Amino acid sequence: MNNAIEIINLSKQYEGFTLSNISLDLPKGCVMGLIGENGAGKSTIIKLIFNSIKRSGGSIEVLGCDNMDKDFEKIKEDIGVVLDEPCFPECVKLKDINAMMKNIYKNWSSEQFWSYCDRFALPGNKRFKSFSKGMKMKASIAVAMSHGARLLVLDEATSGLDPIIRDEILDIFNEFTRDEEHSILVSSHIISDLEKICDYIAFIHKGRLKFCEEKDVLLEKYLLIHCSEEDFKKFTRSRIIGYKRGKYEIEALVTNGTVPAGVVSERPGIEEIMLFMTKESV
Amino acid sequence: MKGIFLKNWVVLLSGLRFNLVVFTAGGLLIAVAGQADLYGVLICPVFLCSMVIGMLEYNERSKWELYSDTLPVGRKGTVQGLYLFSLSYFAAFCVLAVLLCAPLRIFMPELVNTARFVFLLIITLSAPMLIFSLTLPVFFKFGYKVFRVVQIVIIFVLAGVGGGFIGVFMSEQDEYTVATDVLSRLINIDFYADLPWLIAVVVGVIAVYFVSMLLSSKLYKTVEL
Repeated sequence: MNNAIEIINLSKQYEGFTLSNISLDLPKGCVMGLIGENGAGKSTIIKLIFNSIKRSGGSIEVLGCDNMDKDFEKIKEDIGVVLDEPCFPECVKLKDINAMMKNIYKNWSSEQFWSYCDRFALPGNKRFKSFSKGMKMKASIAVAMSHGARLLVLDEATSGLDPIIRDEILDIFNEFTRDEEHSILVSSHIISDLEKICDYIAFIHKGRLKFCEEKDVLLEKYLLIHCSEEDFKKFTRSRIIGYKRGKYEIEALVTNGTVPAGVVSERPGIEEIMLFMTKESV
Repeated sequence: MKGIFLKNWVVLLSGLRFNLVVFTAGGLLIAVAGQADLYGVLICPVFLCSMVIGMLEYNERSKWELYSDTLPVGRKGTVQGLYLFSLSYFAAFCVLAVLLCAPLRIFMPELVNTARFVFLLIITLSAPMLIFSLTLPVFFKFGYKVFRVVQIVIIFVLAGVGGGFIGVFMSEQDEYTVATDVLSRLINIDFYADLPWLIAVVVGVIAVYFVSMLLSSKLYKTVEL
């Protein structure tokens, strides 16, 4: 088993939305970022991984176990999850969360949990309802990291956090994947965060997988160009991924290769690649 | 299952301090209840039900059910955890009532009628168990919102019908003497003579509760969250 997650031809049909034939592999020891616009299907994939919804087709293997298998419940011991909304009842305090989780996870470490709570400066004597969104997220992350998980599944886990804390949490995730047995699947709208930590990027658009590639390969693959209408015509259609026509120039994403003289080119970020692939496709 | 069971208790105790007051007041009421207080005692099951609904409301607001799917407990464990929790909650109430009754029985024996106390206890335990047996499958199939509506309708129908009957008899009779009527049989229960009947009720209610749990497990298995 070399992959932490293997998804093959995964499909799900809702009224008005279809997730079609998603195939992706998250190798062990790696971080994969799921990107895509709202409603693209990122959370649907995460729900399908945990069987919270029924799939229409395909298969999912997590840590070497088919997620339809009875043993998958045991495998969940090794998965830490942070969903887009903090899921603890508002009335509980951190000590209550510790008491709850101690009885849910066999490998729960109270010591580790309190150490994360201290690190995140979470108030132990306050109820969850008085926490800010960022604090709630931090508490959820502390829970996900405190039971010896081998795989973290994070759905918008850094949303609502200030840049300083986000940076600190990204460091924690980096530390986590230093052990090659540990992997992370993370969906986020904050693409700068994903650029910092991800080894792989999977881009979902309208229920379809546009690409799933190694981040470094992906960033090498494209160029962002700024040029006049005339220069733009020099590019073959097959090289152009997408473009935006401005008042004075055209901005376009093209596949890497030679660029005509006079055309300004630069390395695009993941956000630009995503935007050009969705906005104005040729 | 154990984890979910304990989690429900943690939420109930940390979120609903009012529970302790209701627990104590209700337990005391049952402990000292004479015949005239039967009507009041019937409110206890309603209170007990509403406390569990309050706990489920917290779950609903925090989308706990979705998160629970990611935990190593399984859907069957989630269902069993809730049923066992509800049962233990009702039982805890009865234990408290017994604990409150014991010293009263010693120091003020004229105040406590043991047979009546046990009878009231059985009603207090059976009524919410029956209500939950009917409504928890709805919760697991259709979610909290539908469950709450059905629960409230059932509680009010039962309370209204039961209360109405008692009210009618209380106004028409100076004492509870309608020996042939079912309600009067309940009120004028001869504990020792009716013991087999009471045991049958308890066993029946437990059986219905168990069947309801199996049904909920089956329904929840296929629900999309």
